[in-house]
Amino acid sequence: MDGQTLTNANILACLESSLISLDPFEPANLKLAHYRLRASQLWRPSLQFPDGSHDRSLVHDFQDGPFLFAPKEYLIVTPVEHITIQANLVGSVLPASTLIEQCFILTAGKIDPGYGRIGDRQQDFVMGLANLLDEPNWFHPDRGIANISFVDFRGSPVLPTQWTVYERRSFRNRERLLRAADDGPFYEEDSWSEEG
Amino acid sequence: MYGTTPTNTQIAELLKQGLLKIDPFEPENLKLAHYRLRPFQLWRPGPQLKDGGHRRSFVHDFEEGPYQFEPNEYLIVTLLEHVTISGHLVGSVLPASTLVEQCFSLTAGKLDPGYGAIGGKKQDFIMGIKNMLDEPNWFHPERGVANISFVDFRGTRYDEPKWTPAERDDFRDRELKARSGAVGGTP
Repeated sequence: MDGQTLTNANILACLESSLISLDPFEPANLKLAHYRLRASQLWRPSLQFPDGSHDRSLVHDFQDGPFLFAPKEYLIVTPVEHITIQANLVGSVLPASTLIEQCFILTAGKIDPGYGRIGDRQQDFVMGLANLLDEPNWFHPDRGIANISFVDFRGSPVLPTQWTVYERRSFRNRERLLRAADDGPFYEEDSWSEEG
Repeated sequence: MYGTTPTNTQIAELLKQGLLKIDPFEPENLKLAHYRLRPFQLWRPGPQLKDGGHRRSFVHDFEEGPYQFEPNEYLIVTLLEHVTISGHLVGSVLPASTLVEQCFSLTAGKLDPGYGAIGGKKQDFIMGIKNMLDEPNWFHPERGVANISFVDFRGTRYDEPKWTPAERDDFRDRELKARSGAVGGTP
């Protein structure tokens, strides 16, 4: 099969064969050709690291209902669903159209095969959510946050993918941070070089 | 056959056939089914013209590393790669996920066949990038800015697309500007 967008029946078949995992899975959120992701937690970015990313702290988990964004506030949002993709499938995430009338803007991207685990830990899919108003604005998690669709490349010819220097360094840094979060020790810089 | 998304093998074939051009092309940026685009220059939009376009002025070209955005600053970003599309292919651009944790948002669109040249000159693909924080924020170009994937409609039935009057006027305006060497216009 050449790169084809999966229908809901195809997505279910991929879930049953564990090529895709959406955990927890809510059947009512599976539409004709996408799954509606739900917001789980909001995080505030703080200190910027040399690589451009930011440390973040938990702000809200919707246990007590919606969250009131400050004017123009930007937060990182993680979905309820833990997403993993195997084989030659790709996920593509677009903002939920419900954000328009709520006056929020979402930054989200693609998910490649292998995404979802880093080291032996779960890898969160992160998105950026901003209140576009100059006034406080409630975000209601039940209205959805984003829609993920999938393209299936199984059976199509593919080249092995390479990593850029930045991507390799970023992956190792994240892996190191997760290991450190597990057991606390400081890990020395890898001996990997720019040419590596 | 309906419109299908090409894999990296198929994108490489399209490049060889000249149906697609990504110049300069860096193999490490070709992923399973998309190419990671790199930022080249940042431009500041000036006051809006009556037709909705903006003149823009050059800000930064990353020759000396990353650029520090002002709080909530919005700039136009052009790409290192010049992308042209022929035949019945369409390009679709999504933000690089690395922007999320850098706290930037990106506005980008689609590329139709024929895009990439206007008035005998190269047509830049432009995007809008905004610092979402109320404080200065460094943008690191090596982290990428957007991903382009393609849909291949060759062999599929289609109707010849028409232009709206606004699209025709806009194209003619851009063509004239390109010929006169002016910079700017509506995205």
